[in-house]
Amino acid sequence: MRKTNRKNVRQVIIFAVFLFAAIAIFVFLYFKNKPVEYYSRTEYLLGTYVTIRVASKDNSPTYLADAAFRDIKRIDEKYSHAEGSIVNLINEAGEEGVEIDEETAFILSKAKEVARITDGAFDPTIYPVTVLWGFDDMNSEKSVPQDSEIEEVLSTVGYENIVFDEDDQNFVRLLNGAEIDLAGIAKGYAVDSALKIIKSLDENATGYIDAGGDIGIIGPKYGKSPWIIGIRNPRGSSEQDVIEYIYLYDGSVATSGDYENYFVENGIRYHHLLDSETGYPSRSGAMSSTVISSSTMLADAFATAAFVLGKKPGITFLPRNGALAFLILEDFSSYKSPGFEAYQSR
Amino acid sequence: MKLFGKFDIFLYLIIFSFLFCLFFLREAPGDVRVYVDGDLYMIVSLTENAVYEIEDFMKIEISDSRVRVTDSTCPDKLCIKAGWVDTPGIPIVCVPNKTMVMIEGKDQEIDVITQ
Repeated sequence: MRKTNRKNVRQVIIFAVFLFAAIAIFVFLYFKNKPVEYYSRTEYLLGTYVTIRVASKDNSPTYLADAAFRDIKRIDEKYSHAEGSIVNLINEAGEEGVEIDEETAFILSKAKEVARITDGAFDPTIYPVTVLWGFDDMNSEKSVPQDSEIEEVLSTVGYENIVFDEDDQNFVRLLNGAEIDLAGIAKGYAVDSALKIIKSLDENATGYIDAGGDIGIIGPKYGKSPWIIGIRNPRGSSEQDVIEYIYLYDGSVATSGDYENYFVENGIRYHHLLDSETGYPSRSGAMSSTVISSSTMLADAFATAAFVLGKKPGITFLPRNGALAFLILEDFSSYKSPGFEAYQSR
Repeated sequence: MKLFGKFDIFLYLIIFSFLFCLFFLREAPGDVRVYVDGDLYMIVSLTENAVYEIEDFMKIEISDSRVRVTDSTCPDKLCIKAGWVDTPGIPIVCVPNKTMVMIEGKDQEIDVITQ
């Protein structure tokens, strides 16, 4: 009888130890696997919805997102076409020229550089043509302009008309009545700048910034996995209809497509990606172009350029400028820069 | 060694169901969030089939856990052309109306779409 009792006690102790260990393991696994929570916030800026998704072990993600949004807001206001904005000052000064700040000089010189590299396929001076078509304002009714109207404004277009003073790189003049627009390139620049601010506050922060499809990576998901980015099917029945996936641990990606801003007149699709040679929507045979680059600003500008170039030899020059392109053509065939596939596996 | 006594089985059940809840039931079914001019305008359930009016400029429809824009005053109707969306985190954006419709949720197959 005594023996059995002792045996029972031992059983209970073993049972208790097992139970305790089991619970401990479960609790440990739960807290170990519990990933850092991603904080996500969306605001209407840069003419689109900007989403910042960020997580940090050492900082409040709200704080990081706040700082980033403040900077994007600043850039959005600075590069608008509002009266008294820096862009208007440059356009009004024309040939007389105007002194601009470092940041504007940086953006404008980059815009000119991409224009030069792509032989005008991306051109910051195309703005008057954009206005003529009504693509500068999402709310405007759009129609095909007269040939004569296009010809008239086309004479002012050309990135060579942006001239930096030889002695003072912050002094810029616009020749031949050219007008610039920096709103497009400022979108990518704002993402880059906000990424920098988050990184300066917390270099281990992870997440991404998405400004209407221009995506910059803060850091890999949970610090170890790539972000899975879908490339929209340009003729999909739904915007979540994805044609290819890319996996990014860092860097940026941007897409230009003929479905973003277009109208149809007499059965012809007129989209917003205008060719600076003709003044008409580019007929390169591309429906969308996606570019991966280390900078969101360059990804955006090169994506526009790649769309306008299409499958021309010029596009093969993009990789040597750090831009990998993926084109979807009208027959649903595609073109990939050598090396693009590296981003299509985890 | 007898680990399952008459009543111990209940104890195990309680513990395992508790742990099960802890692991798997953390994801609540997604809601649909509508933002206007950057501000949250309304949150509606994704599980309830319905049509909602956003002021006088837009209508959204929820059906079978999907959402789409059915009416909008914008000139290009790109939000309507965005079609049905059932993936959390993928927004339907109407730039002229400064409106965004998005299903809440996390950890999906796609994180974000470049377009």
